[in-house]
Amino acid sequence: MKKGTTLFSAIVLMALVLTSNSSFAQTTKLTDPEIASVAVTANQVDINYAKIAKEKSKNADVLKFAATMSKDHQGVIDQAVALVTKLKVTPKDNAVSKKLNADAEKTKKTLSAKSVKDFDKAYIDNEVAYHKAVISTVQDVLIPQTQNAELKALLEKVLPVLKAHLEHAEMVQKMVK
Amino acid sequence: MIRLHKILRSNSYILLSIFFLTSCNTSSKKDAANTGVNKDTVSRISKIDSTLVSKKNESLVDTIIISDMNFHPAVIKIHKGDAVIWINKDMVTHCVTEAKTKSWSSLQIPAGEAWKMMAVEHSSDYYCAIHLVMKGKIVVEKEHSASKIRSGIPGNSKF
Repeated sequence: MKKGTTLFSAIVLMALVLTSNSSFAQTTKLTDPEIASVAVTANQVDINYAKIAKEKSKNADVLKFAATMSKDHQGVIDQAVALVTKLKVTPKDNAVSKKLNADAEKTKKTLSAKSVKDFDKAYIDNEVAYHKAVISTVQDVLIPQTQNAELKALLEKVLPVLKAHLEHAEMVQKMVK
Repeated sequence: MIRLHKILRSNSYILLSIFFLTSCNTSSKKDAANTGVNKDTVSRISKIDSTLVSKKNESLVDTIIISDMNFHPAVIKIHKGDAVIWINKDMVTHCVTEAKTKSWSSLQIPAGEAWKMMAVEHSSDYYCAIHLVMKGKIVVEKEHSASKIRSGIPGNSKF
């Protein structure tokens, strides 16, 4: 009972943090260099989570998912960097990317502190919540605010990738008890 | 409606460059084994080019576009002995693996590249082993008549 209550509290807390992130992003007006920075940061955050998973998890499904996250998000970063280089746009740190990084640091500490037994569920629950939040931010904030057509097109192409990741995470979530 | 890409006649020169690299699931040697697919003809095409659409070929090439994390069409009907080519227009690497027994598996197909499997003999469900939610199906129908131009599959493709 106590364990269940603790888990529920953790999920509620995570939901509150992400909802807060999403609302925060929605009320912030971003320029293209700032949007590029948010896009790269959001991808890098998930690569960092995957790195922890590779170190801590023993679950084949979780490890495979983490490997996919690492590879896909690095691929997105590479293409985003190639595009901003071509456009001569320098990604600019901003309030949203700073908050993403700050929240990610807290989550990384939480995940790293988990026992091997509890890690898989904590990681995959976070992946589901994180991808939902990022999809919402890309869809409702970044894409509508982007001015450059090529940057907008890149973000639009990222969206189905994120949605497939979410579906994959939810599939793994059902396997991890 | 006639699908132009399904009336391609393939001969060897349609492929820009063919080379074998690491498998999608690191066991490429079992490519297409026991499925009537000749592994020697399972090829990776390094670049996508309009020359894939050749008019000098004898067998048919059926094209599946990978985009927006889906196979288009998700279900493709081909004739026995046809080749199937997957063209990755997504921004991430994909692969294709037979679903039931993993009897064949592609190489990794990076963004902007393609992978071709020759002489498909049997129907099969397949999926992307990197993104498990991506699924497709090949339905092999009777052997095709070389002179016959086949129709597409209305409703299956989003393109």
